[in-house]
Formats: sequence, structure tokens, C-alpha cells
Amino acid sequence: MEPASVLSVRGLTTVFKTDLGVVRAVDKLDLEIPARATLGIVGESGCGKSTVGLSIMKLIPSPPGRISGGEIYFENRDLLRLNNRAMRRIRGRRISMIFQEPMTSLNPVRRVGETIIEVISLHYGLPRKEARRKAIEALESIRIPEPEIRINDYPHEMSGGMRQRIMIALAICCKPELVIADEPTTALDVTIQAQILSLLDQIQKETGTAIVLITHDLGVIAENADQVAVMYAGQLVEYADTFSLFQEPLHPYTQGLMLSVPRPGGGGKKKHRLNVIPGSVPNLLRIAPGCRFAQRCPEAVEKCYQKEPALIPQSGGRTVRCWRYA
Amino acid sequence: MTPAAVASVDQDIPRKSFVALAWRRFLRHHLAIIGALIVVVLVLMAVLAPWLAPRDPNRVDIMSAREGPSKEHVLGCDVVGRDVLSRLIYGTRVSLSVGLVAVAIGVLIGTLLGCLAGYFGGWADMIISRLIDAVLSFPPLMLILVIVGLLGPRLFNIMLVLGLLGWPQVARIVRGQILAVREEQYVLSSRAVGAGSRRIILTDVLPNIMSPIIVDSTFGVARAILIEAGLSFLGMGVQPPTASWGNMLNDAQSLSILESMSWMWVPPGLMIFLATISINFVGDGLRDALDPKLN
Repeated sequence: MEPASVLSVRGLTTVFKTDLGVVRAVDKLDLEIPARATLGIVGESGCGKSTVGLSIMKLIPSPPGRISGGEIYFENRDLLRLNNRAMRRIRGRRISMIFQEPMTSLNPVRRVGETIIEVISLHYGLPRKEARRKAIEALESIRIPEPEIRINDYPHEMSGGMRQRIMIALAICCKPELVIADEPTTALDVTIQAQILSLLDQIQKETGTAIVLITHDLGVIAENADQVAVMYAGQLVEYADTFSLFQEPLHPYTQGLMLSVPRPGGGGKKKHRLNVIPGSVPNLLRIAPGCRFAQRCPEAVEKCYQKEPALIPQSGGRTVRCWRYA
Repeated sequence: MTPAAVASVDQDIPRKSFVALAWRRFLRHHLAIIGALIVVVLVLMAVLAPWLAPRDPNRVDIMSAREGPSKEHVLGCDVVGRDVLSRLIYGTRVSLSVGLVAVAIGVLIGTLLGCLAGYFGGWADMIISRLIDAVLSFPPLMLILVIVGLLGPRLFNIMLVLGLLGWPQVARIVRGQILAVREEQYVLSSRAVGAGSRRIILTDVLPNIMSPIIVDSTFGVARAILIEAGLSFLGMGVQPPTASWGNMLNDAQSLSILESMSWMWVPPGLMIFLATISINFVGDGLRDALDPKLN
């Protein structure tokens, strides 16, 4: 059964004004975010994956950024048409976000408990005592030992992993339907990464929240995502369930990404070089006609340089933006 | 280690709040401690003036005019026979209240406008910044003299004028700090949990820029005390018979007093010096203690 989606993005275009011209960081993106599941968004830096998260939250720094088109449907309402007030009631309560830098994401002069209590009382209008109790519950749910004590800590008294847990507590304390996690583990070391990701997984099992996991790390995707959206140069290039994607990547870019993951001992006797995708991401200021990946694609043919492929549906609910599958 | 063991190890590290840490750093600053003690003494003097002063500061006693220090009048008497020590003690009230109220007015206006300019930017920033430039481009003493002359040299008018001239400094500091804090990640994460602009300014931005505001206010108090003394010395400040350190110095405009009756002008001069330098020491100490980079 195809899972119902909690949020659907249609034709989202987000642009940034720079001194050199207008950059389309996200270009006519269509995306269904399945309910009660984890959607991974993967791509190299600069492909627009973080911009998608910020666009859904309507937190694109403006100026220079602007959402110039599209719709983002959440419960039959277009978020892009909501006013600031209505949007504030959604942020943190219905849709929340976890950022990459736990070290700087907490206000240094406030106790972490204050920050959580404030969010709870902001959204539920609870009296302080009640909100504090709920905040301690939230800390318990993210497995912080002795939450009654840690709630009085300042951020500088906590490690990066602890702070990221606090950020998660902030994101989930109002039981949102959707949590957008933008590279939540990139700044943490590997053992903590695993803990944080399994924590997110457990929270999803307990609360049934949908998670959008934005990352450049295919390993993280393989472990945690149910569905995967691969982005390249501001566009969606492939969408599939995680198992099929790793079993059989369709888009040449996805194939390239998979090959560029180092495999220890994978070369047998012969030392083999790490595969890299030649070239670099095209300059989004000057986009040539045709497929955006054509310049770097090992299988590009004449047509690829002339006409941009659309997303082409494949079996098993997959889609891919490549002429080979037309 | 089990989570419980980790937690108990953590427990042994003493937890210090920002205030406690800042206090410890402040205590290391010896001049600031001396300054703070002097300020405390001055505040007590101002509050307890009626009990501390040996005589009524405004009682004229022509018989003892220009009398030098004696058992009855420890610091002697002024030209109309008022007790200098009593006037000195009461003068503390004027100086401290002018300093505090003027700075309070300045900080209030400055913080408000600085916040608007720094946080919202755009045309609000444009208008407020030009206003700051405009106020700062007047020669302050002339402006003060003209306004006090127009409004009348009353204590509150002096406070008001000093406050109205002091805000651009504060506004500039606040605006600059907010421009930096506004881009912090924690402001973005606050917005991500649904906080609005007012809440972000009050809970995220302002607490993080308190240090420079506090430090600047301290120096502002000293500045205001000096200007009040200068105005009173010129006769445009606090009017007799109310005693202020500045108008006590006014008597020293006469050459004979300057040359041979030092008890009339040395004590108020010393008090002004002592008050401003101790407050400035406290300011220096606070600046070092509150610097978040030392955390």
C-alpha cells in the first residue's frame, strides 16, 4: 500500500539574489513526504537539499532568498499562502526542524530547560509548572539521564551530542507530524551519530512522526530512510524506496554517488582508486539547455545536451529524470 | 559506563551559572572591587543623608560664614555659613540621581531604537541611523546649555537633557550587536519552533547583548555626573539652595576662595573625582567580567 503523504511539495522554486544574478537553488521541485516514515533527501553540497527544508519551514533568509513559486500542501492548506502568524503556530507545533550545528543552535545565556519550557507554553498555553513537567518528559523521551537536573544546565555545560539531543527534544516536545532533520549528525563524531540516528528512529516508532532526513551521507540514508529523494543542481533526479535504490540505482548520478563511497577491502588484492564523478556541480547562474548532469554523465548522448528530461515514472512507484528510461 | 555512572561523574564538576562565573572574574579585578566599595559608600551616603549629615545643609548662619574647619564644622563653612560636610553628603544625592536617571532614560530610548534599527533593518534602520548621526553631530555642551536655558535649570530637566543626548551612543552599540546576534544559529532555531520577532528580541537577542549595554551605562553614569557638575559650576545646573557638588565648586570662581579657603572647593572636587573614577573602575571590571569570549 502506498503510504499517504503528510506534506506535498509542488513545483517549489526558491531563488537567491546574488551580485552575479539570480540563483535557482531549488527548481520546480515536486516531493511527497510520506506519513509515519522517513524520507531521505540526499545530494552533494549546494544541490539545494537544505534549501528545501528551510523552504518548507518558510525560513529562507530574505533577502537575499525568496520562494518564487510552487505550493507546499500540509493538511489541505498551502503553507506558502499562510500569513506569519499562522505559520508561527505551525513551526515547532506541527512541523519542526533540527539543524546541523548543535553547538550554536542553543541560546548560550539561557538554561536549556527554559528554552524547552518556553516552546511548550508557547504552543500549548500551559502554566509554567505544567510546561516544566512536560519539558522533563521530553528530556526523558530523548534518554537524557537525570532530566530534573540537566534541565537546569546551560548549553556550555553540555557536549555536542547532548546539545543535539536537546535540539531533538525541542523539535519533538509538541509532538509534530513532521520533523525536518537537516544534517543532524554531520557535526558529531561517529559513535554519537549512531546514537542520535537510532534515537530519531525510536521517536518515530513511538510517536509516528514523519521525518525528512537531509544528508550527504549515503550510509545514513541506507540505515535510516524508507524512501529516498536524490537531488542534483536544485532538481529531483531520482525517487525510490531505499531498498530498490541501493539494489538498482537508475540515474547515472545516483550510480556515481554509490560508486564514490569508499569500501574497505573492496578491491581484493589489487589496490583500487576511489571512483569519483568527474567535473563539478554546474553553475546555477548559467544553466545550459538539456540535462543538468549531462556534462558529467558517462552515458550522455546527443539528446541529453539538447532537451531536459522530465521525471519519468518507473515500476514500483519510482521516478527518474533521465532519457535512458524514457 | 552505564548512563547513571556517566551522569554521576558529570555531577562532580561544579556547575556555575554565567552570573557566578562573571562574579568570580569581577572579584579578580582589584581596582573594580575598590571602585565598587566606594560606589556602595556613596549610595549609602545618598540614601542616609538626613541621618549622616551633622547639620541642615541649607541652614544659613552668617556668623560662621567662611569659617575654616573646626570641631563644630568638620569641613568648615561656605560663604553664607552653611556646613560644607552636610552639603557634601546631600550633594551625593544630586550627583548619583542625575547619573542614574539620565542613563536610564538614555538606555531605554537607545535600546528600543537600537533594537528596531538592528533587528528590522530597512527603512526603520535608515531613519534611526540618520537620527543618531544628527544628534551626535551637535556640539553637546552648547545643546545642553541652550535646552536647559529654555526649559529652566531644574534637576529633572538636566536629567532629561542628558538622557536625550545619551541615547544615540547606546542605540549605536545595540544596533551593531543585534546585527551580529540576529544571524546566530540559535535565532534561526528559535524561529523554527515558532517564536515571533518580539519573543526573539526579548529572549534571544537582548539577553545576549546585555554586557555591552551594562558596561556602557556604567561609563554613562560617570559621564553624566561630570556634565552635571560642569553645568552646576557654570550656574546652569542645580540651583541653590539645593546642594550639588558642582554648585559648591561654583564658589571657587572667586579668586580669594580659590587661594585661601580650600575647604570650600577641595572636598566637592575630590568627591566628583572619586565618584567618576570609581564608577569607571567598576565599568572596566564589568567589561572584563561580562565578556562572553572568556567563558
